[in-house]
Amino acid sequence: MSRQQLASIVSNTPVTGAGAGTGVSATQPGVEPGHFLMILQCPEVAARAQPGQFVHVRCSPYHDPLLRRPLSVADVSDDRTRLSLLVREVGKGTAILARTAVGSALDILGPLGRGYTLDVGKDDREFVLVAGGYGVAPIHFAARRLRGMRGRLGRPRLSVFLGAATAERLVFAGRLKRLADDLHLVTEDGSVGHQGLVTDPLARYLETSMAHRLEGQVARVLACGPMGMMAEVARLCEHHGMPCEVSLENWMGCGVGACLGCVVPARGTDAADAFRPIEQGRMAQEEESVLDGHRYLRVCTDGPVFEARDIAWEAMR
Amino acid sequence: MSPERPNLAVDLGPLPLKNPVMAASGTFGFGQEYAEEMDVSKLGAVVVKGTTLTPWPGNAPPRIVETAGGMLNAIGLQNDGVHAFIEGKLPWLREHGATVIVNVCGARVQEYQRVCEILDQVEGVAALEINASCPNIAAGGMSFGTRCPALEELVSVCRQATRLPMLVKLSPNVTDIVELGLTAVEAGADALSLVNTLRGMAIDAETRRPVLANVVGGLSGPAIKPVALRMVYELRRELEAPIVGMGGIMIATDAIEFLLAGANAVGVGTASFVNPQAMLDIIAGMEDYLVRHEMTDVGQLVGSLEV
Repeated sequence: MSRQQLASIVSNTPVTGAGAGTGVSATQPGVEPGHFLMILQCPEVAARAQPGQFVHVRCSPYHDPLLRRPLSVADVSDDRTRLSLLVREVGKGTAILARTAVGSALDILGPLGRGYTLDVGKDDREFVLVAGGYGVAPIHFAARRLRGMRGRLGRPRLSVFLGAATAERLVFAGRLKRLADDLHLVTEDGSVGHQGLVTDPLARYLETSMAHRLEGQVARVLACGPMGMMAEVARLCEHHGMPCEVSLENWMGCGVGACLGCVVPARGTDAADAFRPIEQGRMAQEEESVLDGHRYLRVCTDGPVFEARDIAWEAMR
Repeated sequence: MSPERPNLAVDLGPLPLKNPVMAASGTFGFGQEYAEEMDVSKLGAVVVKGTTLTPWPGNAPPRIVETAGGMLNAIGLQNDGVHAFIEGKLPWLREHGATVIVNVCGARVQEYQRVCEILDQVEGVAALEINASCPNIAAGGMSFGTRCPALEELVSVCRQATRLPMLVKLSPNVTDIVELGLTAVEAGADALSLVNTLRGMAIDAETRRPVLANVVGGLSGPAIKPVALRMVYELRRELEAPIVGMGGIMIATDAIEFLLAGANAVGVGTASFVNPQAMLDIIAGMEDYLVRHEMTDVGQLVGSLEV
C-alpha cells in the first residue's frame, strides 16, 4: 500500500498551554504564533502509526513552500481511524497548515521512520518520559500506548517531565496529567511549575531513582525536544547507565531515505571504521579511501527515534 | 473505442528507453526507497545515486534547506561505493525490471575510470552517467565540468573504460554551456544530461551563519527551470546528440517544455520529494498531451519549439 494518502481534516484548532486563562490566545493578532492540533481522518495511516513515527505533510498543492513538513504523530484514536498532529507555527509551511480548513484534503506520506521501543519487559516497573516544547507530541502518543500495556509486574509507572519556555508553550499538560502517575511541569520563566530547564528535575529524579530504588526499575527513558535538551537527557542517562531513546527533528527532503539530506552524525564508529571491514581485501589494490570524519544516520529512516548512545551529540550543530 | 496510444519510447543514441521520464540521480536513492509508491519498471530509467570507487561519508549536516521555489543541498555524494552498489542495490533494481543508469563520480580521473571499468563488467547496468557537475565536493565532480580540457580528458578516459552507453551530466555553473556540451560529445559522450544544480547559498541573519555546513550548496526545484530550459535550448541549436533535460520539472507541462526546447528525455528530481508519484503523473500527462495535440510519437515534440 502506498504511504501517500489523502487525509481529511476533521478539526484544526489552536491549542493553549498550561497558561490558559492568562488572557492570551494564539489566534490574536500580535500574539506569538502558537500551536495547533490537527485531527485527520486517515485509517490507512492511523492504523499503522506507532509512537515516534511521523508523517510527511504537503502544505500546499502548489510548489511554494516546496518541501513537505515532517510532523510527529501526537495521537491515534482508539478505533485507529484518526491521527492527531501538533503543529507549531514557525514559518510559511506551518502557517498554511494552521489555516487549512476543516474538510480539506491533506496529502500526507506515512507513517514513516522508526518509533520508540514500547515493549514492557518482565522486570520493567517504570518508563520515564521527557518532553520539551512541541516535542511533547510523540511523548504524548507514547504515554497513551504505554498506559494500555502491562508486564509481569503489572502496569508500568509513567513518570513524565514536561518543559517549555513559557506557560503558553506548555501544551498537552492537561492530557499528560491524566496519563502520568507523576507529572513534573517546568518552565524557563517559572510561570508554571518548576523554574528552569526540564532536565533539572529530571537529573534529581534519576539520581534519587538510582540511589533508593531497585536497579533496573526504570525500563527506559524516552525523550523528545530541542537538541540541547536531548543532548543533556542523553548525558544524564549515560551517566546513570539507563537506556534512553530520543526522537530527533531535522529538515527533510524525501522522508523515505533516498536523498540523504536529514542526516545526523553517528557515534562510536567513524566512517573509516564502519566501511573498512567491508572493503578489506577487495580494495587492496584500489585507490586510497577518502573516508574521514563521521558516519551519518538518516533521521527519516534510521530514526527519527534513536538510541541516545548512537548519536555523536558533541558533533551536532 | 479507445484511441491508439501515442508512442512514448525514445532512443538516447544506443540506449533505448520505454518512455522519456527518468529519475534524476541523487533524488530517488536506489529505487527501493520508493518501492511502496512506485513500480520502477514503469520509468524510462532510474539514475541511481552518484557512485564512487570507495565509500564516501558525505558532508556534515545541515545538508539541505528550503529556499523560495526550491531547495539547496550539499549532500557531498555520500555513498557506500561501487562494490556495495553492485552487491546490495543492483539486484533489487534488476528483479523489479528497472532500466538502471549508474551515475559515476570520483575525486580523480582514475577513480571514474575504475568505476566505469567495474560497471562495464556487470549485468543489469543499461548505461553510465558521468558526473562532471556535482557542486558539493572538494575535488572532482564540477571541477571536471566547467573547463573544456578537464572535461575532454575525463570523458575520453571514461569512454575507453566502458562500452556501455555513456551520458555526461553537465553543470549549469558555466558561461558557455555549448562549448562544454560539444566537448563532451566530441570526447565520446552518447548523450548529455543537463542541468545539475546551480551553486547557491542560504544565510541565517539571526545567527549570522550560513545555513548549510558546507556553506555553499546546489539549488534545485522550480526556481531553476528557466535557466535549465535556456541551456537545453542553446545546446540543441548547436548539437545533434541526445539531451536529457532536467531542472525543476514538477509536472507534465514542465517536462513537455523541455522536450519543446530540444530535450529527447527528461530527468525528474526534487519533484519526487514533494510527490513520490510525480514521475508516473508526468508520464500519464505527457501521453494525454500527445493525444490532445493529435501526435502519435513523443519524438514529434523534440525541438519543435516555434521561435
